[in-house]
Amino acid sequence: MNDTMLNGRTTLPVRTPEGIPGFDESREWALERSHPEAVFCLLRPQDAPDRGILVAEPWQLAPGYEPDLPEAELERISITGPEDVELYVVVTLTPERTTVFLNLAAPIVVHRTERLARQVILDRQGWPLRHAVEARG
Amino acid sequence: MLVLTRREGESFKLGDDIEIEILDIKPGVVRVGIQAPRSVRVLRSELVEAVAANNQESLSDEAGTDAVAAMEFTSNPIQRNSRAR
Repeated sequence: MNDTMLNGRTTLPVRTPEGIPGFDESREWALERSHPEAVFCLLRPQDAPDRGILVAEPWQLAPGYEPDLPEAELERISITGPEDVELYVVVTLTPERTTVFLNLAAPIVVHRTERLARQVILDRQGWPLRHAVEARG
Repeated sequence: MLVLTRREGESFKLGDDIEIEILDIKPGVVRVGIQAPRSVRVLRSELVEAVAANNQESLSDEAGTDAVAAMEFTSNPIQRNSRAR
């Protein structure tokens, strides 16, 4: 295994051969999870560790989310079947943390074993860029 | 930037396998047809820019502290009553 574990915290490497919009120079990332059951993970660029993107696997937060990932997009990170796919959505929190916004329009797809990733922009599928989910009070 | 003048129904090529055709011109709106291999992504620029802005906002200074704290959530902090779409 190429992940590291410290006090339940896991860090997995991620490589984005074509960058991520807004982080176009960053290619090597660390996907950090504070413990195995954590809902949110931090995607941290190795060249700018003080920056990052908060992400989450969408299935629990957005039941009913069924993005249609174009094959041509998946091929760019060597994904050949559904078993290769690890999927995350970008999370934005309001400062009061009362609402969580999920970017369902552009999920980040990671090849589970190769650790290659890209953000797939789903045009004309109707998934919102900011899907609001109310935080529990 | 290269600037070309084209009339309605005219087209031009980008490289060997991409063709752009001006389908329809109305005041303020142009309809463009694009023929390109499947591997060429065609995205409206403002959509890519919106995604980039949203990515950068995810851990902006204002929300940053909360975002790092949010990593500590062990159970789903979110109500399950909202379905996507």
